[in-house]
Amino acid sequence: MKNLSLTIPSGEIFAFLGPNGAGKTTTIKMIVGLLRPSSGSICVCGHDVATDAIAAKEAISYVPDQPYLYEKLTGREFLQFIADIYRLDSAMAAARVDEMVRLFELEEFVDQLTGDYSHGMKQRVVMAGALLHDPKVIIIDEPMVGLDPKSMRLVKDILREKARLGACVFMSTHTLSVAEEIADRVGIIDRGDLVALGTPQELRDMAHVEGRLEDVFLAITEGANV
Amino acid sequence: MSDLAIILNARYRTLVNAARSVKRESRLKVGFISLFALCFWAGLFEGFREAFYYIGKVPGFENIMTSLVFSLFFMSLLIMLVFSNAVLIYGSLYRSSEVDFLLTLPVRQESIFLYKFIETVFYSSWAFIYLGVPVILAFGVNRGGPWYFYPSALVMFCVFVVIPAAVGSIISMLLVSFVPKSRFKAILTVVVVVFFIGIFVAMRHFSTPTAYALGYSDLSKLLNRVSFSQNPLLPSQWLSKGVLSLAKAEPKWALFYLTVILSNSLFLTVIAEAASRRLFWRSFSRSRSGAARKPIGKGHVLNLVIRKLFFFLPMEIRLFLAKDLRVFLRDRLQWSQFLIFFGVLGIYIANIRTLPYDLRIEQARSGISLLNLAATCLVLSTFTGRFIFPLLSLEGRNFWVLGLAPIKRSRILYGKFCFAFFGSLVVSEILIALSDYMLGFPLSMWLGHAVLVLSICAGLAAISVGLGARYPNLKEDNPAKIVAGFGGTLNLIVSMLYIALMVATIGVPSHMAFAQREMHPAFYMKAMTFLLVISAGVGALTSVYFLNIGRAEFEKMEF
Repeated sequence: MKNLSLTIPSGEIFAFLGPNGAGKTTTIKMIVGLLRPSSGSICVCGHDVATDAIAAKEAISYVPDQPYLYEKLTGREFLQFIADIYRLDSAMAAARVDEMVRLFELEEFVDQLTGDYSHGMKQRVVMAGALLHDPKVIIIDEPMVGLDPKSMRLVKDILREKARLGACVFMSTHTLSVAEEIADRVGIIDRGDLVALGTPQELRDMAHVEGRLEDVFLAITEGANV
Repeated sequence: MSDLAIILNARYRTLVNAARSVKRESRLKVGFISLFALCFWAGLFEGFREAFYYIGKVPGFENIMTSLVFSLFFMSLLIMLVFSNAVLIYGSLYRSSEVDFLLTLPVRQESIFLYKFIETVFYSSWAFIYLGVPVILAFGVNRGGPWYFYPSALVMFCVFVVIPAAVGSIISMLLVSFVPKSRFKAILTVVVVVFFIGIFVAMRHFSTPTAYALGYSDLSKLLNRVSFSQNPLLPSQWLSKGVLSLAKAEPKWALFYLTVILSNSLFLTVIAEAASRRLFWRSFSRSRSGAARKPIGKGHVLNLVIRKLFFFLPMEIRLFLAKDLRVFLRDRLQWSQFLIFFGVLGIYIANIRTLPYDLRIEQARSGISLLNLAATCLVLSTFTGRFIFPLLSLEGRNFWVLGLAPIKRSRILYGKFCFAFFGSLVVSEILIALSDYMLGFPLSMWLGHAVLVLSICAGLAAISVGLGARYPNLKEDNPAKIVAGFGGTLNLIVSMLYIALMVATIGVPSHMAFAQREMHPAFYMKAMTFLLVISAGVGALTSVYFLNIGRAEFEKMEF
């Protein structure tokens, strides 16, 4: 990454776009504490990720594109594990787990081992886990991969609702229609450089392109590569 | 509850659920594995009981010899455990997707380290405990140790294994933190070369006079040479002394050594935890980042070599052969283990003439030759079990690529077989030819061994490929976990039985015939020809049988 400077306020859905290998996932990994920036700093809700990691991570929920689940835990046991890690008291944890199970319609399989789930089922359980502790910052890498149309709609509605209630949503995606539909602002990164930043309309103006975000994205990234 | 306790609790739940899954497995499978483990364990116990019995028969040297054997045995285990823990902790801390997941949660990095440390202690040490318990039992039975000898020795073992785990994990974190990634390969090569030179020098240094000529002065020289293993600062020596004190019914001394081991285990664990606080995140981040790798070429040369060298094979099989060879050469773990296993064996065989065997006695040469043959084949079976058996399971995730290609599925299977067979054949034949050369066997025995090795290589390759297709694990992408399942265990057992069968029914009779060659030359030639034909026949039948088992299953398999 090269001199990336970005501030995302609470209540905003921010879509982070870029070609393959542009640095989207690297940026996300630095925000969630998987990678250590060689210079500069990252603050989440006022906490430096490098020096105050636990406080920063308490505010974050991260949904990776390849969800990790313990194959020998059931979906419910996994959600309970997440509740324990985020120190929800037992009554609150039970209520939240039930709420998430209903919300993501996990009833049919939540008591089976996650090793037997399909990709979409895993993604729904991971989403449920991510929202369990009511995070202030939601970071999602490719949120729609593996989800059926109903679940995609559900996720979009939830993200909008969370943002309305004050959460910050940072979303990396190649599904430009989703970014166009729900993002308040869009950042386009290419080869480690932030080449465009603004609302979808501001990006259209910048690229002198009217129409879909896909055309804007191609105009900007191809322009940056010339 | 602390974050470490929460993670361990989740791990406990996974173990409980895994145990329930095992209950649902066929009783035959579970019973078969348990029976084999028990038989192996009983065999070890009996072997060590006999060994201690013979040591006890050497008048005046019983205590010295026992102490020496224990010091060397535990020191070797200590060194092996430090290395294996360093490798295991590297895999579990830096190559595990679970750590990626845990690092994104509000969990202290030292808790993640301790969790993985505990897991590594368990994984690296269960074999130590499994192999160590029969030694202790045999020793206790032989010496008539007090009742508390057995549980206390087990406790000492369990506490001891923490020491190499802590040292190994500190080494691993330091290496990942400070060794430049670009030089890692070079440093690894230097370590491997130094390791081989060390073994070579050690074998020359510790060679002793032949066993029958061993006298008091020789024994004294031997004791001086290995006195370093009895250095009082070595943890292995504390364990050795502790176990011996227990056997002599000296509980105060035993308690003293147990306390020394325990305090050092705890001390080193604290050091490792403190190191993880400073190093873990830094090293983890370092292991995951870095400049883009250089392109590694298009592999045209390898394709050409395989195409020309194996002109007699169908083209599809040659393609799979080239692909599997390329993957093998690019997987550092595979070729480094291959090199270490066969390299150590090669150094040993190349040093046969400097070892304390009397090679003038034909029976001794014959015995050593058979042992070399068995050792080479056993090492080969660990290789086919570890790397060939999981090949088809690992292919499962990418099977759509192969499934869409206009290739018969059986060709994929035969491609794997050819890769395993030709790869193992080259190395095994070289080792056995070297052994025959060092032992001065005539050409007829070289030929006999070559055919036997060829049959064993073909059989082992077919067993691993066939059973790998019969018992695949398509959900798992970690080969170590694929091997640890029922199919992997069955493969190991069948491979060992096959080697035992071939060595006992063809290797041993051929050496018996060889002993008669001067008195009955015609009988020798006839017997050798007969045995070679039988050997080739058994090898071919075994290969066809196991490949057919695999093919039948593989052709109807759904991915």
